[in-house]
Amino acid sequence: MARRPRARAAQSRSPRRTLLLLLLSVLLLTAVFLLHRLEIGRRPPPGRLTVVALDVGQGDSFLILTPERKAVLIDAGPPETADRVREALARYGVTQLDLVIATHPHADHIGGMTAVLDAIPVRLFLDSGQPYPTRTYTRMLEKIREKGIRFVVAEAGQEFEIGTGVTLSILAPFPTRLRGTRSDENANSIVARLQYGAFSMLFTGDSERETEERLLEHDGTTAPLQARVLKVAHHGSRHSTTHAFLASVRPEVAIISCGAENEYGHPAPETLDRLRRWVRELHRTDLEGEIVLRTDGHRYEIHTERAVAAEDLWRGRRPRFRAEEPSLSAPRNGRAGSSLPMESSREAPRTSPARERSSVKRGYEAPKEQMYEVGRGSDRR
Amino acid sequence: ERRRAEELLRELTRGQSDEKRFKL
Repeated sequence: MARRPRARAAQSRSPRRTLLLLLLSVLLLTAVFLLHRLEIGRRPPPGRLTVVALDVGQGDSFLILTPERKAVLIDAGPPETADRVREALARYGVTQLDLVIATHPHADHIGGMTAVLDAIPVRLFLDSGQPYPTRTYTRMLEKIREKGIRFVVAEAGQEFEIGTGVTLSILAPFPTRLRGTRSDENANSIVARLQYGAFSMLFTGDSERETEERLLEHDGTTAPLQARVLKVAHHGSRHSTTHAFLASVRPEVAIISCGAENEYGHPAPETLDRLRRWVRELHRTDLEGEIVLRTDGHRYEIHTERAVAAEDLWRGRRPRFRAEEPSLSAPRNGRAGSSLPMESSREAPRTSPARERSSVKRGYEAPKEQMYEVGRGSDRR
Repeated sequence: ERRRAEELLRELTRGQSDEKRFKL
């Protein structure tokens, strides 16, 4: 009998305790989330290399900040988001660009370049050297001339030492340019490999299948193709990122830069299927916004502006209009011309169920933050 | 426009060596 009042007291305390625990959990999650958000736009901490995938909509723009505070810009997005690139440079405290790379002369990669060159001093400009007949491109070249910026045409075998311990090796274009491809401008994109300690990342511009084939032929003649992080070619288009290429690069993480609501079918479900066999982590600017990678040369961590469920990240898009043409995967009957905006892979997952579960779970976590050790996951391949 | 791009590229690369290594 004496126990009953105590039990009642415990019962009355229980909802209060639950509420308190819930409140503490919410506060803790909020604090962690805010700390995570602070990583976006934060000036790089000393001793670490930072790579930022800027959210420029349908285009590419990547900023590399070295431990010695040197800065490299690879592409500058489309004309309509030029202000975003300039704003990001200011946010990351960039007062000079040591190297600017225009991977190829399409407007979704160089549209913001003239505004950048107007806003900030540039020491060296690396271009693919393709005389492309657009006003966007000639205006950019005129601006380089006006500013007296040192200008170099890229060629496989070049190497840029960006301060101590950071190297950017040029793997393409080759002296004999590719001709007769779907897009020669894309196919002759500058491909560059970043190395800092045991960390490596491959930037592929809008490479085509032919670019990848040629890179495979020359693998190892300049820098190796293998890289821990892959900037997926051409916004995740179905025309590149072949199995053979991925088998050589063996990336742990893939990053896709493309526009939300784009109508070009980027990223393509077929490309995501191929990536799924290799990478354990996928990041996309269209869904996650700005993506920040930081590394001390051994471990690396990735922060994103928005947390997105992994299952959404692996959902590709179909183009709004499609001319009949073969893709790299087996054709899907009846799909051509369909206007499905987003589509999950209909094929059976090729990854192990355990990996599937863990990646979906991780995608729901807030903050979205991962830390990798060198050598981790090597047993997977 | 193509000729304009070619001219500008020629002008910008005039005197460029076959340098392979760049220290920044």
